Amino acid sequence: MLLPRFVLISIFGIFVTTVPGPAVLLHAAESGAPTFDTAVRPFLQKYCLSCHSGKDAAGELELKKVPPDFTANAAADAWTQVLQALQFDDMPPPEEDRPDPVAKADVIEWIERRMATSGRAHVYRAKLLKPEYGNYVSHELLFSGTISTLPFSPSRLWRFSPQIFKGKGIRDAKSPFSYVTSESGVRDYSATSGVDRSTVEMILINTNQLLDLRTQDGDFTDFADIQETPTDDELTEVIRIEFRRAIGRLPSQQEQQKYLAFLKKNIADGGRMEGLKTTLKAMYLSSESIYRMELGLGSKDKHGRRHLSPDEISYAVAYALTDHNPERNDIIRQAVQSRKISTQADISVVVQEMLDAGMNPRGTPRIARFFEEFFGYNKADKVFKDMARVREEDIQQWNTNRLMYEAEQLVEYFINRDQNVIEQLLTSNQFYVAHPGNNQIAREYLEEALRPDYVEQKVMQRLDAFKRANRDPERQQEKEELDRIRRQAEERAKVTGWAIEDGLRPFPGWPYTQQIRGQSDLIYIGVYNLPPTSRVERQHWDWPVEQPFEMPPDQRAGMLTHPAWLAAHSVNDGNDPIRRGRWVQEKLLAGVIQDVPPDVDANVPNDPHKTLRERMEPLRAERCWRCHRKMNPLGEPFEIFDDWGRYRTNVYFDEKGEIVHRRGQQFEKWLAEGKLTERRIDATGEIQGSGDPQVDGKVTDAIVLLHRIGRSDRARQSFIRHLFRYFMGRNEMLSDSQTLVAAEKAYLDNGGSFKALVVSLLSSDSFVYRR
Amino acid sequence: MLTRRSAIQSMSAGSASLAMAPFLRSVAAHASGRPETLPKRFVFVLKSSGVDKENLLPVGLEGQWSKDRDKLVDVSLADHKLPDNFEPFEQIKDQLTVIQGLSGKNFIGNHTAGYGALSCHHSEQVAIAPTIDCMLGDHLSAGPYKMYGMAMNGPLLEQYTKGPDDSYCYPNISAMKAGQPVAFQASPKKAYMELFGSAVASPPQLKRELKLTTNLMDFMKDDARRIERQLSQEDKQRFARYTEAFESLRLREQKKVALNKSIRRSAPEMTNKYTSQAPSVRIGLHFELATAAIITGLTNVITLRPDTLGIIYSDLGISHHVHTLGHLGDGKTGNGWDGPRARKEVDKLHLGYVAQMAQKLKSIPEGDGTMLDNTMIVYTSCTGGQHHDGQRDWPFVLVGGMSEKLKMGRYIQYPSYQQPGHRTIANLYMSLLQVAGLKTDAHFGQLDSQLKDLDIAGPLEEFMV
Repeated sequence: MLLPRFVLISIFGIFVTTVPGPAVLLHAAESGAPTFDTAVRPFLQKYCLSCHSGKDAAGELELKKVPPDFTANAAADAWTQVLQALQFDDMPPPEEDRPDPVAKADVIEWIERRMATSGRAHVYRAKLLKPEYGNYVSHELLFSGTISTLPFSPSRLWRFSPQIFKGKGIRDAKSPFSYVTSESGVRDYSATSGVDRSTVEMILINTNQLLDLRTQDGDFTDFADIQETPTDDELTEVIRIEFRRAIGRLPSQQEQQKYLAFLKKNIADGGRMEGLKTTLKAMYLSSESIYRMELGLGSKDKHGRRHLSPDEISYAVAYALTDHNPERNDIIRQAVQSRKISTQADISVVVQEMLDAGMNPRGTPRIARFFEEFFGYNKADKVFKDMARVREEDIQQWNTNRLMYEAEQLVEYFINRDQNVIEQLLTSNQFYVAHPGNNQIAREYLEEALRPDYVEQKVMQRLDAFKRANRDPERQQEKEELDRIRRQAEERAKVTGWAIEDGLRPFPGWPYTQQIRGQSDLIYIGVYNLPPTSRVERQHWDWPVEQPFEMPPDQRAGMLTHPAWLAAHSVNDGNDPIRRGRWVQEKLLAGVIQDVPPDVDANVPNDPHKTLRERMEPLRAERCWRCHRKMNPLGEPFEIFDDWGRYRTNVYFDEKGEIVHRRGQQFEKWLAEGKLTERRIDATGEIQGSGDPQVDGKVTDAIVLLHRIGRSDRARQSFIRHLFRYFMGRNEMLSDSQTLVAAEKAYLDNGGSFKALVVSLLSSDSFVYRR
Repeated sequence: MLTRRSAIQSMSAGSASLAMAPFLRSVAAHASGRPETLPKRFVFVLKSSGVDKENLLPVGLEGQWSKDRDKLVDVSLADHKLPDNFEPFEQIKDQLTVIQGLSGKNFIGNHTAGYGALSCHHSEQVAIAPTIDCMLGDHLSAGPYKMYGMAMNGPLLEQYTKGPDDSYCYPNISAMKAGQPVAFQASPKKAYMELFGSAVASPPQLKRELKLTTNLMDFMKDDARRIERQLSQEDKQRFARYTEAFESLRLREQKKVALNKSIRRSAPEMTNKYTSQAPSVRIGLHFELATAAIITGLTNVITLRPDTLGIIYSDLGISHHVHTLGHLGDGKTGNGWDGPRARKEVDKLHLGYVAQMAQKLKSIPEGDGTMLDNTMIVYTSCTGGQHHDGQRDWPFVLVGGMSEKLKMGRYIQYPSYQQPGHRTIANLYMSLLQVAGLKTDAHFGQLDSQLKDLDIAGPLEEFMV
């Protein structure tokens, strides 16, 4: 029964225009598309009419009376309502049987197509190009393995990202290219990025400033002042140097000629200095210094898809993994020189080599950024936490920088280890805490701290540094510095001695460097439920020199239990179960949630006698629960953590029945005096809609939830969809199905290899073909 | 006497291309002097750190601020003496309106609502919606600049410039639309050269500059055409905005040439003040340039950012940053003023410049009245009343007129936050947008869910004629 549909989908490609986005269904061949009689009527009959009929029709929506006519406003509105109810999985209601996903997709397709042909789809389609609507394409169909349309991307201009702009070296100029995509999720989308007058004005301001500074630096003095008229060869040389500086490559012969003529005209009209500056402005304003161009300048295949040219591939790969042009990467540059960057097999080799060289923020910054954008742990410092709360709740130091870095360390560890990466990221209880991220370096610092002559060693090191810098150790300033070093080293030696006495591995501390973002105490570690101590206090924690190390498995399971993630998904004064639940729904279950209705009051009422979960009870009312059932049961299990990221089992109330947030000595005293009553945290929740009955069901807390979801097919596939969006800069279309299926296979066949996944996506048809 | 009409009529014909036609038509219409065709202009002045609301109460109404906050106060200023900060306005108080009690509570940020102050969005550092000044500029300005901004300083364009006075900066105040912040010129000297450079340039210099600009823009358009041919229909539409930018930038230069005689006549005198670092001098120059730019027709909308938290008004004898003044309380700054007094003196300095600007515009006849009758100067803060304010009370001082469509000479104080009759800054902005001839929806910007039980749609009725 399914066969005719997939045959039809396989020919969609022929009709697909270059409009990107999930709206691929809109372009289906009219002749083979689902019709009202074949797809819609039977579906309504089976799943909808039992409630939406007659005088008492649910929601006053009598579906039998809605004509399949989109020219009338009332009917079109009703069909839009149906479309959204199906897309958001709001209907049929959760207690009813789920409809067949393919039959559902047929109805969605029919409505979308009718919207398109009646001219009502414009706004809707524009919306679907945005990253937050990526999940609108049927997950079941994408991974069904039955879609035979050959993948491609639309040919396009893709405006440079702010990071690429930064790397272009216009000193520290403010980037004229800002993202307009939502802050949560994949940021760099080709269809949403544009350049207009104000962007051009900003570029012009940047360029004028740059040229002013270079004038002040005397960069153009020779050119402006020489007596003789420069020859064409001399002018051409200037053009080559400046073009490379502005655009990042040497100009072609044709470009050289064009700019030469332009320069000569400008010199004739405005003199040598101003003529040159005007010419340079043109380079900085040119489309190539603003846009990445992926037009598909290679050969055309028999399906009408155009392959990217070797040049285009080199840029596409460079910008997929780094923020620099291909000339700046040795591996790509060599591949270009040896002409080994034209086929998909070539790309596989180049990408594999780049990833094997080590995935880290310096070498492959875009990989690191994907995890930041996917998980969002890098937003931990964006949530303002009041210092009064820090003190009252006994957070010795709220060090979000450190927490974010430790989340990064963990990601880096798992992706370079490259085994069951997605599962590990979502379920592992291995963590880094107060560690340089490299065990060898950690051992060296520990060995140094344990040396009997540690203090003298530190002083000698500083003396050596003075010598190298030609600084006189006898001068007052240097003497004071040495005294300080000695005092600090003595302090460290004392604390080290105490730790050894107590049978603990001493925390050695290390200097700050860019690479390891060091810290010299354990003062911030309370958020991991570890005992914090300052650099002069007796250490209480047996510091693991080899990391990552195992945290209690009933307390931590992967990135979503990392304090950085928990803080990033909290609010000023507490947890944010709704946003956390939404995150799990969208990022791990590939689910969709309706836009917040405009009249919703997003405030949870205050009541010091109630837990947050209790305060959110009104959301379980029917009107709210329609959306909130997809968020709260996935977010409330994280109530086993406070908003600092500390694991907890109980909530405490004072004698007035109000919740006690205070921690530390006073809290312990009240507890000992029996002034507090305790209640176990209710962190129960439920997974629905994972597509797997083994995964769906009730959970007792976030740890159980994450172990169940983290190992599921749905979470793996949802992760892959997000990685796809990140690399392609657009939402997936149904026609990308083969790419996604192949990527998942590559991942699984290689033992859960993230590298294999990246190689597969970047050498896919979706990446290299344009139409 | 210089009149608006004579200023415009003295404009050189310039090269009247098709694209210049709307500009020239508007210039001709303005020159005709008919009230319906008179240009409308706005000047926004957004100081930092709040405007202390108690200082804005007319004499005799001092008690009103704390009592009866659930009532509307709407009185004529003619019946009251202005507070001492407003002394320079005494002569023109029929063209002054003070509005208090408006809220903008969801437009939060760290010491500033950022773009939110003018866009009514939660948008401190990243512009997520157009700001009202840019909307008005886009609608009203036919001249070279849709709007023009000047700031004392702000996040610098780049760190190697000599100082905050020497560069364009992004004070996070104005945005054309989401993701498109407007750079403000911080250097009075550079602003002078940009706006009035032609007044001090020789004709050959001017000709040369225009020639080079034209060369550049033509080259860019030609280069873009090469790419355009290879694009899909959808990308072509996106790309067109980039190519159109060159035409509009070229047009700007052309318009400046067309305004040359007028620019020469109205340009301020370039004196050694232009190299001064003293904050009050620099602020004064920004006002001077803004006034001249408005008179000349270089733009119809100017936004000024007279200070930021980091400014020290050393020339007033103040030894603390603007930020510190907000926390100073009874403590004393260099010249012995306490925090509130020092803040009041800063406001007084700004208001003095606003009054000077108003007087200057009032001295230029236009239609049956003066330029001030068709200009609205809006003085407020980027963060409501007081330092670290919750933005429940956001004061506004409005000076000028809008072809008699707004009630001037009033003190209007709205019922406090969440009280029946309470209004928001968005309501005020809708009043301004409407009198400027822009259609508005029922609401402007993001709604405050805490006010959902109140009717907060539409413009401020008490302010509209």
